[in-house]
Amino acid sequence: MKQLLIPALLFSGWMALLNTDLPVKGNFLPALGRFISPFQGVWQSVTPNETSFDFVGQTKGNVKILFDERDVPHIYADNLEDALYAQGYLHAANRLFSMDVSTRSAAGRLSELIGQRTIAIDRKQRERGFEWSAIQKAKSWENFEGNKAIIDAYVNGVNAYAKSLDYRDWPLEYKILSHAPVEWTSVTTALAQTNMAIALCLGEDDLEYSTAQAKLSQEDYVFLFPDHNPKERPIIPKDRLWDFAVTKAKTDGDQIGTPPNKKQTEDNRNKDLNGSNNWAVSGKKTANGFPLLANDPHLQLALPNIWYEMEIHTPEMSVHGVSIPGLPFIVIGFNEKIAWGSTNSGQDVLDWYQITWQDSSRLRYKLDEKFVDATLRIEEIKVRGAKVIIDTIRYTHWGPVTHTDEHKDMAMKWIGHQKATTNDIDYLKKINKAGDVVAYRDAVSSFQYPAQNKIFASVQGDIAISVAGVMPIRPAGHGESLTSGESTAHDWLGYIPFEHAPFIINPSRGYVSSANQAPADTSYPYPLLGKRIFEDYRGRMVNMLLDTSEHFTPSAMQALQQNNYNLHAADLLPVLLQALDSAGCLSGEGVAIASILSKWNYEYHRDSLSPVFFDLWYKEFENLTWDELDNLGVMRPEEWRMVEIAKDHPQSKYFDQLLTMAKKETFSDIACISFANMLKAYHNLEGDQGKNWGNYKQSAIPHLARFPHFGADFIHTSGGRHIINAMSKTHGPSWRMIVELSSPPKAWVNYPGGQSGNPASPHFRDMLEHYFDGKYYEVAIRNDPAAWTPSRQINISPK
Amino acid sequence: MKNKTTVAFILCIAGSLLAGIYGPWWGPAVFIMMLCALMGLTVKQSILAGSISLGLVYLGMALWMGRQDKAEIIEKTGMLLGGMSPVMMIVVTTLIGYITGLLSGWLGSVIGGVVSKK
Repeated sequence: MKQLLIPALLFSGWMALLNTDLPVKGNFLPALGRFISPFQGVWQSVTPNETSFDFVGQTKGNVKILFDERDVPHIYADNLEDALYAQGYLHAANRLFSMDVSTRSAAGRLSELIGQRTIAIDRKQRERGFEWSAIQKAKSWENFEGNKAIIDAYVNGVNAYAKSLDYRDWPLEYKILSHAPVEWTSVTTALAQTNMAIALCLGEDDLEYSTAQAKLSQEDYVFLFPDHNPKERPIIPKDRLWDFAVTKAKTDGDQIGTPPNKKQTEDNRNKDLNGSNNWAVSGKKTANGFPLLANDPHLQLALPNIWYEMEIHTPEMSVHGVSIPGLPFIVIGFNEKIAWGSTNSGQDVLDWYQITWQDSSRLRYKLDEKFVDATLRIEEIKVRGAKVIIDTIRYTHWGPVTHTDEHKDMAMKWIGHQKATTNDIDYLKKINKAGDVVAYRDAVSSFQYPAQNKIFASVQGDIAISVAGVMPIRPAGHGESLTSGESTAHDWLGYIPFEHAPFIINPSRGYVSSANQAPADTSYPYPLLGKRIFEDYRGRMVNMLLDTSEHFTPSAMQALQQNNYNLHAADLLPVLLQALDSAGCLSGEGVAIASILSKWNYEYHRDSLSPVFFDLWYKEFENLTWDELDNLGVMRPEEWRMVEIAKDHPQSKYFDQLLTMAKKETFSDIACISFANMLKAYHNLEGDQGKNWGNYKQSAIPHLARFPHFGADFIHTSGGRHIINAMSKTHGPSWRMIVELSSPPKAWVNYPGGQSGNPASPHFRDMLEHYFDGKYYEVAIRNDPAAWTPSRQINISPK
Repeated sequence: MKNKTTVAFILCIAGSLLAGIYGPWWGPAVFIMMLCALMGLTVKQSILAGSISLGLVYLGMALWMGRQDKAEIIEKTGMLLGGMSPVMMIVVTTLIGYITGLLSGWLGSVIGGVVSKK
């Protein structure tokens, strides 16, 4: 037996080594035994598993899924639950890893998958109680009739696919991370929605405004941060009359001007990360008399794409569009009667309340002249390859305490944490089935959050837009800066009634539109907070272009979605160039570049060089102008305000440089200095960056899990901020759709990516090139499954 | 002697292919170990048959699958795992197959010897 010892030990040791995930520099090398096995691991992931097959599922009847040439599935089911079961199955088959990662990210459970690198992210998400609110949401769904069956069918579909997988079939990302797919539940479905809410409705500037108010004189504050852009063109035209009475909100001036510390401002969202557009044009303004609806929601781009395109047929509805993997129904799309779309409203639905603790134990806080108990919630953060982390989150009347500092803790009140008063699953169900404007309004009344501009057009000829979602009413003067959490008098007073929310149907101008700008002008009776989040240029540009024609065609709409004209540059550049000319500060190369800029048409085309010069110049100009504010730690004014100040106040004290005590600079001086700095910055650009705008911008679409090389590392793109085609570095149009409301409707669509979530599939990114060349795919609802030949087919039969 | 090794080698290839396709990742190792034990091969024969057969099976499968890799998944994964080239991925795969086969054959042969003595 002795001779057995050495080979047995070596064999066991070797097999154990092959069966173990090995920590390497903060990551994990997957257990090589199965990962490198050519029968099981990565080698088996090189081929797409896109075939035709039949299976027995938890459906009441037979379901046919036919795939078209782009691998877009067309589901034919006898009832809604079966269709949603199939939808869940398809979402899992094509986006399982994306669904898992995005919901883990929202819940604060990434560290279970990744390890110690994501602890900070998980901690922040747990502090904010996102998973807790998703649990509440999932419970609330059950209170609405019919929801449970819908959610259960969808969840069962996801799990039917996930459970059918053995290691060989796992998505590649799971193999790399050496982690099995987990069971899907109604809570993860709620988390998929919370994830969208996190991306779209956490925008606010409360702490920034508090700092500005505390550090600036009243005169300076009003000068730099006026309430409204006089040039704005709100979503609801200014001639709309608001014919309802509003109960006056209580006035309470108990605002706190305490400057926040740095940590408190770190969550501030990047305001440049928006760009969604939608519009609908009535038949009076189109070439063939049919209304046209266009929508391009802009999001953080990733491969696989955040959306999954599909078509669903049941006896009650036939609908085509994009869905969000993790959620049932079509989110943006069209059916045989209507088309609908969304842009983010960007309204401020998050407020910060300063908490006064009784003592350093932070167990009781002051509320209405007495101390009350905080509710403690223990969060257990599991970390792959490390010990579990226990965190205690304190919940107050306002919400979770998410920022802690010595005696300056702040609680977060967010719309996503509030008890559901509406039913967003019902919204999806109703909008998918809607057949006219009445049904559309009924659907929109069920929408909860994030607040969105829901656009609509119908074959009956109606066009409309609703600012939808639950929008809080605050005591007058509240919500824009840090508020004392000592009194419930500072609490939200309720929500804007649906019938009072901004809405317009068939306006005389012949179109409705939105591009993340302010929903309404100052005549709207309720205050709508979010001025720094609302966009100031794209909305104006969209409306200017929609005003120009009475004969729009689908191809004109396509061109409009890809318009690269920068109104901000057109506003500011002539003033800057005039300043250079007056000051006579140019020589040599500067003269040539100024000449190039003076001939520029303000188009941010990928092959153009002028946008590079302007962008570099503008950055230098901004930095030099706002040096005082940067020094004080005060946010910068909005860009439209900067243009106004440059035009109307060239002697403003803000143009004076802090560092040059002996001289008082004016706008002209700053224009000259920043231009000279731009020339230096241009020559310091690396590689080909100075060749043209596309090279300078360096757009990319990363892999969802940021695996290098699995995404599109560089894409030469046009567009940018303040532009209808607001494609930035990694943020841009995630879905482009144009629908002609003929009978039946026709549509032209595309998105950056492909239908498959499998990097080995030809459908992983097959629409990408077409997309960036500005091309669209024509689609129409295919009612008869026998009338076309699918590229493949899945049949589901009941048990 | 030579024939027995050749037979063992051919059986190892066929068996580990079947075990790999229908069994868990460690299926081929168990098959080779059992085969070497049952055939009463010497240590030298077992090591030779086990290592070369599984090494070749892994190499062949990696080459076969690699030819179908239109999306360069192996190259991308190799870069993710410390910058390995596709060739290096094939080398590592073959080496793992080779060592696994070697140790399986060795242990099988020793087990066979112990059992036959009893």
